[in-house]
Amino acid sequence: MTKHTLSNFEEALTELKSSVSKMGGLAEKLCQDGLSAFISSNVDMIKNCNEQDKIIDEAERSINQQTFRLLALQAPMAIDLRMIITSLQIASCLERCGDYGRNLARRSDLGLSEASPSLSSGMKRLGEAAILSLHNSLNAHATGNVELAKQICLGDTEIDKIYLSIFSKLIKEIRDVPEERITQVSQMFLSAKNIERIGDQATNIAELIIFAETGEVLEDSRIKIDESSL
Amino acid sequence: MSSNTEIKINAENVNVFYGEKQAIKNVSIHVEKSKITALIGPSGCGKSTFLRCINRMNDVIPSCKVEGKIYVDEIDVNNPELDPVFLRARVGMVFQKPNPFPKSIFENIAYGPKIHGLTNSKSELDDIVKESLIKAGLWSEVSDRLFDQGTSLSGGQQQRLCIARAIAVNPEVILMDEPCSALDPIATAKIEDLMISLSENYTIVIVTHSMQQAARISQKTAFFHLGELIEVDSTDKIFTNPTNTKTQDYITGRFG
Repeated sequence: MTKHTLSNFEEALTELKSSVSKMGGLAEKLCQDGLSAFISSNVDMIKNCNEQDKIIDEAERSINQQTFRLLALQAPMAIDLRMIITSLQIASCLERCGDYGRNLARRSDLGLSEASPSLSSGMKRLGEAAILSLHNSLNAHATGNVELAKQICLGDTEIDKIYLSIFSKLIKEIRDVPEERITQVSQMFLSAKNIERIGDQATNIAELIIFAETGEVLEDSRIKIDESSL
Repeated sequence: MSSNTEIKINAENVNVFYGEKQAIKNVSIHVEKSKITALIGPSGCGKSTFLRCINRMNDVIPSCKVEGKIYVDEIDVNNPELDPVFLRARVGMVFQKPNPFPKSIFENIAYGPKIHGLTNSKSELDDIVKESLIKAGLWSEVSDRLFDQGTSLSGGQQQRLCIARAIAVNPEVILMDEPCSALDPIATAKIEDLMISLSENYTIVIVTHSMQQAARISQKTAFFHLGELIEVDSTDKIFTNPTNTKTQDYITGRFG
């Protein structure tokens, strides 16, 4: 694409995109660390993940300021306007991903590593699929790859399927557990939901990339298999 | 195009030459009634030349030749038997620089209705002057000094006086060639607000270099480049997701 004649605008847009990419890298790492701490029951990671989350929150504030300035000072149009608005929205998605990663780390004391192998492996599979989706969405953002973004939207169904399978396992488990373990299993429900939400945020990001690049709003890009909003 | 839109101006395959140089290349466009259509594009792209074709202002340029058809309703603008003075009463024009006659505020407005025979009495003429000034949003500012010189007004007031002068002869279309480029932001806002209210009863075509102005006030925007009409669409579409890359490059400031 031709560069802007106004070089400071061009530089500011490049800087904004770079800020979002950097924030994406931070959010992805926190999701990975949080998942790893949760799966291996490594409570030593909690403090570190809390610190990472604070850095991500600060990154979001910085992106908010960058977009606010660009909107006020440059009166952007068309693809620039879409890029700036979606940067703001993507930053919000990434901030939520950071929260999910931090929450997973905080649930490292639930003892997933000692839970049934099928639950443990299911959580791992769900986490890897969600984080891969997030990783791909960040790649699509960096390269403006609309086709990849569309694939991510379609791939969210697979993540939902894994989530529903874990949900069914937990339903069975909670029926049989003694009362003192009900809170622990409930926390497992929340953890699974957190991981599944990382996948949702990755899909949100993919939809925003498609809008930024093409101006098209995808409607019903996701096939809903989770009708009950479990 | 939805069925409830009515076409006021229909231009078909318009070509304009200044001597050997072609300024407009095969432009076809429909301008909708009671809407504001903005013509945008870089200097020399032909947007003002095209605007001036609509009320034959190019007639006064000896080397200028216009080809193609332009209709305002059923009127063939380029019909050699058409009286351009009659045409310009139906299709008024406001220019970049306010250009009141060196006469009183009253006379500036009364002149047109008098020469077009629109009034038979002094009281009718008074009514036309007052009504035109009200429509142009100037009455409250000048009602107590109608016989002061038009040139004694501020730039923004002079421009509204010119709009009142155009309105006084009951036009259906008002052409505006960068009407705010010599005005400060406050006067510009008043003219823009006036254009929006006038568009209920008049079809307005405006040439502007301010894309923000086009975005603020028009419903349709046409982008011209090197004499060609590159894209015309709803203003929303042009400024959020234009179809043509040349349009996008221009409106986003990529002039490379």
